[in-house]
Amino acid sequence: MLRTDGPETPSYEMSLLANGPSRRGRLPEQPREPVMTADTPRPRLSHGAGPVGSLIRLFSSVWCGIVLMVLIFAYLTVGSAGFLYPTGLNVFSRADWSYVLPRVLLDKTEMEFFSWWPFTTLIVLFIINMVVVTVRRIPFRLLNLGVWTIHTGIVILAIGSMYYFGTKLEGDTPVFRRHVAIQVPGVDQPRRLVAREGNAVDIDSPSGRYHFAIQDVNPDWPILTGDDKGKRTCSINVAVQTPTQQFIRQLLIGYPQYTEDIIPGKGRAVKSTGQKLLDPDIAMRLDYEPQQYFYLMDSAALYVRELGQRGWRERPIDGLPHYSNHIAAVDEIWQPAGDPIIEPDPLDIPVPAESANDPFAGLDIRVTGRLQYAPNNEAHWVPGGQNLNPIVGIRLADDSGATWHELAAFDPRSNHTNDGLIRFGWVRTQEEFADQARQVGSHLHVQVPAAGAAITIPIDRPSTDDFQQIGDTDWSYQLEHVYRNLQLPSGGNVSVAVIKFRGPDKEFTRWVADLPDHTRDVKEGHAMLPPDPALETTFEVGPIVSLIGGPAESELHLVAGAQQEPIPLEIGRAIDLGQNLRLTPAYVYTHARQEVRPAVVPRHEWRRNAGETFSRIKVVFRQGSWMAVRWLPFHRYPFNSDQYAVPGRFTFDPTVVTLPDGRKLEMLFSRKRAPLPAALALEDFQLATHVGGYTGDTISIRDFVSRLRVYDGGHWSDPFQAKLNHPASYRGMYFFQSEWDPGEMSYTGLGVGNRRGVYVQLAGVCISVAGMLFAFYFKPLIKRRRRLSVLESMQEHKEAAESPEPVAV
Amino acid sequence: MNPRWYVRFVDAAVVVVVGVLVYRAAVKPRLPEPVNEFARAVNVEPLEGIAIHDAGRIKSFDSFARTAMRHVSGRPGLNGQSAVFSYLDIMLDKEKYEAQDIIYVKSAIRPQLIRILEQMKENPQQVEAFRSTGMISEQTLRSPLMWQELNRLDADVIRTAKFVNLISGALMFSDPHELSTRLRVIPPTNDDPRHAWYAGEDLWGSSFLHAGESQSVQVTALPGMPGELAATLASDWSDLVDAWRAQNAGNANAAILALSQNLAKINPSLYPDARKLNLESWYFRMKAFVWNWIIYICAAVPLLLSVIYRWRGAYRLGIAILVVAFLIHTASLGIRWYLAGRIPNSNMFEAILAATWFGVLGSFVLEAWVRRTAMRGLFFLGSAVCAMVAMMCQHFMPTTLTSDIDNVMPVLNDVWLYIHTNVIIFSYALIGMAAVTALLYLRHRLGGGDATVAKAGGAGSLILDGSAARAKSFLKEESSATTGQVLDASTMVLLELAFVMLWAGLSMGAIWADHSWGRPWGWDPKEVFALCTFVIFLLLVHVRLKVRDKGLWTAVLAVVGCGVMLFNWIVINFYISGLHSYA
Repeated sequence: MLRTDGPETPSYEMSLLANGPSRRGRLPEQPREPVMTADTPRPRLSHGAGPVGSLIRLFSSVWCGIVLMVLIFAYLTVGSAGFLYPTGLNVFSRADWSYVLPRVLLDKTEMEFFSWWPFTTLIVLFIINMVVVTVRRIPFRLLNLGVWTIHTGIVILAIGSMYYFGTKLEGDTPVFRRHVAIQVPGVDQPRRLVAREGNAVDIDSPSGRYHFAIQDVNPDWPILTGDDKGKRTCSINVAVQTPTQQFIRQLLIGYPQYTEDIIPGKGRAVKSTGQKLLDPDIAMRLDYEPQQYFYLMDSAALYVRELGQRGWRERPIDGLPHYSNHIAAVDEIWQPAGDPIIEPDPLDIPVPAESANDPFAGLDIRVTGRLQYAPNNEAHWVPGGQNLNPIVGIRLADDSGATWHELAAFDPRSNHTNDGLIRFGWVRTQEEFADQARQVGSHLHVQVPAAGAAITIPIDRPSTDDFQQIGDTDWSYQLEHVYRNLQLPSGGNVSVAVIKFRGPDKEFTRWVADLPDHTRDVKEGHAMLPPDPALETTFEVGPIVSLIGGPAESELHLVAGAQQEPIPLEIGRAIDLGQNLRLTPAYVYTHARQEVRPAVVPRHEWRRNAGETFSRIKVVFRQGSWMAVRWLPFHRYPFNSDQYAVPGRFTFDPTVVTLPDGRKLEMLFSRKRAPLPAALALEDFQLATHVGGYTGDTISIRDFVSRLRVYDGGHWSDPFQAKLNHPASYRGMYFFQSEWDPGEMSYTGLGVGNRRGVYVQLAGVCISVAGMLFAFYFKPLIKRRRRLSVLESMQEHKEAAESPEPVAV
Repeated sequence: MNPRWYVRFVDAAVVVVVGVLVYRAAVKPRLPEPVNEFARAVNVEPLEGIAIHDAGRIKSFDSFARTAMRHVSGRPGLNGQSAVFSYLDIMLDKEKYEAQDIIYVKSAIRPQLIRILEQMKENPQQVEAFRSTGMISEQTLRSPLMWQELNRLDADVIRTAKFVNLISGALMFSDPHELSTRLRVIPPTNDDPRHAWYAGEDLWGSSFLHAGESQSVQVTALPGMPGELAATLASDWSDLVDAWRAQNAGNANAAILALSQNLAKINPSLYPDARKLNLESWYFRMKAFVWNWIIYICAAVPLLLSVIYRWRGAYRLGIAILVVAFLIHTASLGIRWYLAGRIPNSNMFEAILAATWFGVLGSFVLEAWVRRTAMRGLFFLGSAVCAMVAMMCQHFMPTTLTSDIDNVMPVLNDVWLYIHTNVIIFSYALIGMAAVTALLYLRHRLGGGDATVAKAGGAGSLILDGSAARAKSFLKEESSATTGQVLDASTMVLLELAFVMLWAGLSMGAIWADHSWGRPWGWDPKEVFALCTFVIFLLLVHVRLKVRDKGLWTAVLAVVGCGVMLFNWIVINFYISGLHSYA
């Protein structure tokens, strides 16, 4: 630490204490070297005039460092937390706050934002400033050793970090446990079946078709017989269907000698046939499923191959945005309802062939678009179809906002709004028109068994009127609310009319549901009671409004009740439906057809931390005058086949394009890959658990252990472990346990990375910590010792002056 | 000193604000307690101490029931009843609770639900009660309109889904079937510690859930369990169910006693020590000692007086009370450590408990050093205030800072949890304490106090002031050390320590992250803000070097640093999730 002397002019003793005696036992006369303090005058540091001089002057200033530190602080804060801002009026409610991350607006990951040039520049300037100040302003003396050490440590840390991040490779890779190699008589090549439940393969042989399916994977199978009885291993049951028979073959990892067949319904084959294997000609073996590559974090690549081939060729995509949406035209995607429109802002990233054996070297591939969150392609209506297929798009607005609906007249599932309020029909004749108009409206049938009276009440909207009498009875009613298509907790929908009934001796509110079981009475507060038998009610629901198109193609009418006049509608003109509800017909397509486009999910439905999982890129293929466009979904890993797909985790959804020359190009959008130092196999995966084993909660797990092997020098190495907090390393690459497969434990997810320069960083940190301890605690101790020796020598001088005799030394 | 006219108002305002906060926190509106005759007469205590297997731990049933009921009502019991009673009662008599306001809704989505309640024409008193307590009934939640709204809120993943999930959790933990399946009270008969415990219903079936059905007990003998014992357990259970439904407390008590004794007989070698289970129940009955803030505040007041007026009596009284508070604090951590079987520094509740414990411990060490100087008492005061604030947060935000004891996330099972985490939280405690002395300094300056500072820094001033240099001891009581110097020196002593520990702790975190996540530094928000806190102190050290008014800037930056630290702990932890989000 630098000296922190105060503003006062140092007294003789102060300067003495500050600098100590130049030699033990001798009085200092003057401070030996310039001492850095804030206000005491100090000798001018020599530096030239002109820009170099002022630059040196600038970098010799501690204030420059302070300003840089403030800027670094600001950059860190804004980059990491962003800005909080209120989204609602209730500033005390968490729900009314949101925040924006500038780095996301700049389309940078955390790593990128903090290795972006403005930050690197700040850090470099800060380091230069620190070095210049240290060298020029802080004399290299024992008392300043702390500052020098801290600053040296930080420089070493910075150098180590630059090297570390400059050479950092970071990614992850899945390693599957086994595949079943299947050899069928008459077929040369063995076929492989990745050992995951549900995987299946058909093999055609001269004697007919064989079908193999992984029926069950049990990672914790107790061996039941033999010398190894009681040990546990992973069992894999393969359902086998030969041209002649059907059986299950059980294979145990590590124990090929216990392979046996099971006859469905009869048990082990050995019991009924005396043979362990029903068909020994079918050879099945469990083999490693080695992984050659790992996949780089925050990267993008296109993988191509000819349809039917096994290995992918990688084409890196450099400069693909991480977060932003890029489209060429507003209507090439389905825009999310309620969100701001995604404006055209196309990309143009060439994806050239890099591998010499890329089968499509001559094909020009470019990425021209990207969507951050569009997991699905959806079919919606557009005009321009061949047949009559009327579609109306309407906007419903009330005080709280607006909703959009698209109704298809000829489709009974989508000819009404979700709440059933509005229905769209198309008629060819006036009779049909009258027919449809009659169906408008809901009705409540009320029976008063005691009075033998029954009436039907049209209930289209809540009445503000007073109670209405029910026939001649002494019952009356008042309609309060109509709720349509409410979701039931148990699933399904129900519509409810809330009606207040007043009888001779009681008054209650009844929720009359169109599903009679859900009808309830509400009395005294909010207790829900079964309906009172004094009144029998049924509720029949129809739309409150019908939009009827036809007979002429340009005609569209609104019918708001069986007795009401049809109102002619105009596109774009709002109709007031009452209760502040306004309906605006936005478009009518009489001849609509469906078009499939990527559908962007509304922002508020995005899953947190989904990252790039649901992203999609638009790829354009060109060869001469031929062109094709596809939107490709993101894949975490470019697997060879769907046998590796894990629902909810790893997808396998390749896209195929037929080229003009007839070849079929199969491709996948995923991440860049890098070769592992050697092929990696998963020998075994184990869970270490707390008491009671794994019960579904992550906190019941203590550790995940992957036992790995590498293919080194022509053979598989001895197994080594990668577990939490204990990575395995091989030739400078580290493997970190990072993911597991809770059900079958059929694969392990490993983080993979190098860590060059990490010890330089560590050395820098240790040096700086030592410097801090020196500056804060050892420096005062040294000062105190010096001060004491000064006092002692002063005492000696005093005594010497008083004593007539010379003091013996 | 030259008191300016507004200083008294500032002092008064601070006292009033603290008083109001304490009062408001302490005098919370209590719920009416409709405890019926049966609830009073039945004694579930024997059951509170039975063992139950939950998420990799064997807990006491009481501890487990508290967690479950807290999921439902935000409190460890329903309607003021004990946790175990509530658990059994809602499992056996769900209908009774359906219309009762037992489900707690966090304030974040209350306004939306209130709007629906108003649409549903709910009784305005009910609406008002919901607004203030957040309690609502399952029936209301499941009414179609409300359900519709909950679905809508659930679709908003970013803002409201989290709170709807909590309601789903509450509904789950008030579902008798769920409660019955989670009642894993039957240890396996083989001695395999990896074997999951059985739920009671594995043995006695789940037909008891249907009240009114004839209670034909079908006993399923579990592997290795003598049929006789199985039959006894099943009949104990069915006796309990019958007595409960008949509200016959005498029979219920007999069945409870028999059941709890027989459960312990199944596999005594796997069954945990009764004392440990009872300790766990007792720990929670003592509310995890979070009321200790009252003792800390009792220590802080005399310590503050001793610092201001240099009263020896107040100083001694303060220390005496602080020692008591610290012993309770230590006991609560020790018990937690013993019960959890791991160091209690991993979730938010434990982190602030451990941090302030380190703070108080550190204050004893520092005070031993400065006991003969004018700095005496300041560290005690700082640590007492920090501990008090931390425990008040625990006491008054029990749903945010739950005291439940659980295992840690698997990745935390490492020796660095003991090193990195403790060093970091210790430095945070020191930063908090430094903010207390810095605020005192600012108050001192506000009152027109002197602007002198400890020129050689904190530790430096003390060391230079050591016994050998007695002649010139500026901090000695009898010396002329000014209040400004004393306060500034105290802040600096704490900050220097915090500076080194924070930097070292950050580096240790990097070492851990390097072999845990595969990179020493990942620009995760929590890392970045710990670094930001350090940058503030880096600034402080250099600004102090350059500015004229060193004391003022030191104090201001010490408070800012504490603010950044708290921002990291609160906003980053709860709002901006990162890799550290489980800590």
